[in-house]
Amino acid sequence: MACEEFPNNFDVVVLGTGLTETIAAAAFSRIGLKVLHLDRNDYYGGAYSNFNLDGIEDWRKANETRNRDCNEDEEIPDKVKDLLQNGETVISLNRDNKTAFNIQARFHVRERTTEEQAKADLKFNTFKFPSLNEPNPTSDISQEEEEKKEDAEQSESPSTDSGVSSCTEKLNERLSLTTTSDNTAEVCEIKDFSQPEPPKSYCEDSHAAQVENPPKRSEWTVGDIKDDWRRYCLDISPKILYCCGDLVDLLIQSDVARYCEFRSVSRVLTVLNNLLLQVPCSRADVFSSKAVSLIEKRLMMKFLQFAIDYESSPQEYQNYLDKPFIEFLKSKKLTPNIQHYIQHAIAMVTDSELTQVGLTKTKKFIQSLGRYGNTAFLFPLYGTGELPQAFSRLSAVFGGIYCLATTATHLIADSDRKCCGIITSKGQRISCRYVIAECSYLPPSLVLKLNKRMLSRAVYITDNSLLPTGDSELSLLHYVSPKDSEKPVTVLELPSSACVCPKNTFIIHLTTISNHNDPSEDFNDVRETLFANEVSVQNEATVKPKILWSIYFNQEDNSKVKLTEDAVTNVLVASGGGDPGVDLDWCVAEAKVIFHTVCPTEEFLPKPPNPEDIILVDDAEASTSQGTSEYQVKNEEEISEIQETVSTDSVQEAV
Amino acid sequence: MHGRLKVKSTEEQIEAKKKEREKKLLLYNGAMSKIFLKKQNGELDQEMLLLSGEVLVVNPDVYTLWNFRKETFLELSTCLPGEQLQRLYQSELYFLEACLKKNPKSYGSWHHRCFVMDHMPDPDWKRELELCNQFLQLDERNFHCWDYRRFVVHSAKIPPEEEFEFSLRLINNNFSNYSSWHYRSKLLPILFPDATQPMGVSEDALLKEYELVQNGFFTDPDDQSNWFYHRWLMGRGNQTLNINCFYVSREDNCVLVSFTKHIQIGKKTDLILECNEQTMPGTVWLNPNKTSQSSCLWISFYNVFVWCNAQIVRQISIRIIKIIIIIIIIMFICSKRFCNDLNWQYRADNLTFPKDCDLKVTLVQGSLELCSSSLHLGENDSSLSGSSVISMDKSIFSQEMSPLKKDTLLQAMESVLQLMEMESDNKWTVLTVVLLMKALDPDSYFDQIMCYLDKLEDLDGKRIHYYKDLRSKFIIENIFAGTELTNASAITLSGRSLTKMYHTELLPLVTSLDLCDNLLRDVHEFNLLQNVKVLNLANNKLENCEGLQHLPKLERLLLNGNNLTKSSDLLQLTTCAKLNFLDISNNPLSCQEEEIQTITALLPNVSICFKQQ
Repeated sequence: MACEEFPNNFDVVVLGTGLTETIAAAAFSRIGLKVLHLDRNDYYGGAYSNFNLDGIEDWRKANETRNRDCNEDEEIPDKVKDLLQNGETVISLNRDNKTAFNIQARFHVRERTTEEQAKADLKFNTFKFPSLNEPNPTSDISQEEEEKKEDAEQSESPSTDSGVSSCTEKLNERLSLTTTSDNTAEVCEIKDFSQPEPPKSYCEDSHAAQVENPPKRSEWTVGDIKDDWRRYCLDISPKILYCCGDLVDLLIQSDVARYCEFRSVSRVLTVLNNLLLQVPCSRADVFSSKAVSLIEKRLMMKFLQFAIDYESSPQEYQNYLDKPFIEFLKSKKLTPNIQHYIQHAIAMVTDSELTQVGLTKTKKFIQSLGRYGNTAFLFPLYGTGELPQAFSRLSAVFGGIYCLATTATHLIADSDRKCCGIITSKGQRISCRYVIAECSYLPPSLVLKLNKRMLSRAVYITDNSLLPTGDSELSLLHYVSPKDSEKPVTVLELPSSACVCPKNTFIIHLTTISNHNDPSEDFNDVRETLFANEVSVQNEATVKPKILWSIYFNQEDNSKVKLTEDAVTNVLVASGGGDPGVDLDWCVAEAKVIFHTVCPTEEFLPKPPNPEDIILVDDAEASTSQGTSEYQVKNEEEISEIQETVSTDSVQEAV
Repeated sequence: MHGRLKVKSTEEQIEAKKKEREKKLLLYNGAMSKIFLKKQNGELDQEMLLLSGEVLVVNPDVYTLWNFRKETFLELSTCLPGEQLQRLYQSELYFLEACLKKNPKSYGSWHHRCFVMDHMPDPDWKRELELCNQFLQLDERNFHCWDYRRFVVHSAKIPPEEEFEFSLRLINNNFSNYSSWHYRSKLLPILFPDATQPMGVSEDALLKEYELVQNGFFTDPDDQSNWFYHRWLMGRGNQTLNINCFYVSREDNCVLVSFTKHIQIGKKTDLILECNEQTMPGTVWLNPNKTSQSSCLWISFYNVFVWCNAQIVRQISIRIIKIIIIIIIIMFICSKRFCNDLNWQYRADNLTFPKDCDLKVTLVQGSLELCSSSLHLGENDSSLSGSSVISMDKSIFSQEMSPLKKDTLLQAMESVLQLMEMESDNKWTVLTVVLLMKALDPDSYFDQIMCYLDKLEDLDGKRIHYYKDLRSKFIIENIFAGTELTNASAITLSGRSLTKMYHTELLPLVTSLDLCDNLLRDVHEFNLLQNVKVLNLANNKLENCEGLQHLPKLERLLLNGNNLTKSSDLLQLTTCAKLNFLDISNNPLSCQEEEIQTITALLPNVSICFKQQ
């Protein structure tokens, strides 16, 4: 960002670019409020961010040096005092805050030998690779993003993976329903279709060290993985979207869906009787599954049909409302197999969770089936970290100002203890009506964290799928340990077609509620069951995937927060992520509450007008009475700059 | 403030749209008139392709333009070198893809694509198959695309195994896809041929299909495509063609032949009547309606003109034969009308059998003998009948169901019964149980079948008549199965709530049929009862007599207590020469003086009962 100074006046200042904050910021900009959006990090997303292999190493180091708590009692510097007006006070904010702990990352494969290295270097150098040989860790995020988009475009032509194309197509189709036929879009679609060459997949484009169709390696070395460091997108908080969930609806309604692409989760797995298998959850799955008998097919379909509209037959479940879901399932005379599928794979509830919860979750799952594919979920290509960026983009298109690596050091409260502005880390005073802050930006004295627990996370790079098939599958597994059924592990397996890793590798995310001091211990059981044993790899004639690289960390569950009584007014807190659930629909609800607190009567992210119908009002005409100040001129340049970097195409649309 | 957004008001939007439309219309009309002008001047060149392309991409349904394009291509292919032509056709394929995206169900685009592929110097069929795959993924029941796929498969000689695999893939994706099931039913006889099976498909293959479709109806018993495929698998075993009844009457000098299936005599098939191993000349076969349309029953008539000609043929030249044939045709047409009027009264004088003779009928198709039946007509026999159907046992009715073995059917029924236990209110399940029971043992399951049919009427009120007719059919078959029909002269089916009469083709010799106190709504195919003298249809729901025409022996007809409303409903009876008693009391028309008078005039030789005594 080239900006030296911001305008002095905004309607809303948003601190943190997590999903809740970005949705709220987009909603404010959308209705014309002036939004300043800051993030202390030099990347978007906060706890929802994702990194490549080098980036995550920087993230690890940064987290080690950060402080647990901020120094609230720090004396207010004179510079700040000078900016205050009569009767105003300041509250110091967290500048640096630690949200991930006990981070351990390592490779599980050997280093390259000197000969191997020499050979690899040779290959590497035959490709021109300007300025990227020396990766700049603080490189502009937008530049990297652009590169990613380039990759995306290349992989977009009729892909071998039907899931991706059909899915994005459908989303677009839905989007274009109400808009008049867009000629440009059609033309390029035609061009796509008529391309006679065989479709390219994501990893086949001309890239260093990638021979065409890389052979499946029998042995990996650290160098093999490091060569492709840019191709990994490792999410801090990997999430999926219910196809009929609030977030998908919001993405469609607000047109933000045009800024991202999705792939459907292609299968749901479960471990039943120590065997990993695919759960039949859609009609088509139940039809073709060999794991369930004819009678079971009927029983399962019957239950699912009941669940999709369970409210209309309360007599069926009334007596079980205060009992666990599992007891209700037993009462329906379902076979143990079917009970397992419904409880662990479809509803994803523990043994103690109540019938009402189980039914609600089953219903949500079933409703989401068949909208974009055979399962109930979508996964954003390039990772969950794309979502906050997409909403930021909408906000920027509608005039929101973004600045990374900048934060607020102090909140300014007036004599009524009402917040009336901030002081930025660059020492500028900015007046505003409201401050929306992700919880880690506020001092601990102002925030109550309602979920006092930690999550344990693991991310593996593996050489194979947990359950390989011929196709590129994106799988969800709700793993219930026989030792502790109350702390299930959510396993999300991402193939290279999800654009998060190079070909022939997989990213496997594991999430559970922390039980031990060492996060890796929380996954001992699942690691033994699903992955190849490191020591006896050679002996085992198994197809279990090998872990090539791993990272473990703990994350604070900041998904439920509220302000303390003595906080200043006109400050709203947003959660900081870290919930163990699979989806993000609660973020939409949270953002909605924040938005309606500020603007009770306005519509929340309504459908944007047609690009053709947008007229940009020129300043000179619009605000002659005020006269153009120095700032405004600057502001103009700045916005256009931001818009160019964030979304060249959307600006074009707008113009 | 810079960057502030203003949205056009709705009026502005409407106005803009209107202008847009006007502009489009102007362009469209301009292009169209230019194209037609070029066509008039015979300018079939690249510009023609360009212009028509611009219109077609907006509206691919203008078939005329597609034809212009075809002509242009044919024209260009005479003057362009092969490589250039290939490129031209290639770009036409891309263009067609654009049109198909606009409207995936446009006949013009798909047909034109066939044309292009047929005329291209070097067609890439693989790509076409991939195109079909993509379009079928978007709409799995787009029959245009299915048609095109069959064209591609045929032209590219794609092995049926691959297509079979493809259909399975589609079904696994979504089994509510009857197009795909149907495709399988067409591929099975090619892939697993077995001539001994009625459907031409080996039993193993059928069993595998059965298992597959079973998954479907257990997953979703309300989905009809599974049940239809299941029904196809279970049955419609083709009834073998045979002669039901061969009847010769010296008294009437006529021959009746009734078949197990509807056939048409005249075009490819012929029925030959031999007497003492000599073909009887001049025999003409007509169905009971006196036409040559498809029927189960065929009646011999003797054509005097044909006989005459047969004599002359040997003597005169071919040229004259030609003329005569024309005359014959004219005469035949005339005679048909003439004879219709005279009710074929004269036939008795012409077809005569020797005192003691061997008679044989043979159904031939070309030189192939399909079936035959013979009998010996003695000097004292006034009439005689024979049959080539070995026994009139139950199989004649259960053949309609399954060619599968009995234990397969039993297994099938067991699993459907299991399903019915869980889904007692599913009509498809109940109907399938009924059909399976009928196929397995109609006699011992009879009460249960009736019970389930009651249930079906409750469950599926919209198809109540279908179930009632089905019930009637089963009742009749059940009675007929236990009766020796060949020799039976009187059949009583009164008071059984029949809504429809079935299997009249089995009753050509019956002289008396009692169907009173039923619920019959029509008497179609009753004219197969060529020997019936007394027909009791009292107290039914008849609204007309369509089907009672040309019954040569009918003497007494009871139609009292029906829904006949006008005299024209009885028109068919004028063709029944021997009718002498008719009861039409208790019908709406019998209270109307005017109608009574018309009827009396219509049937002068019949004593008619209008009022119940």
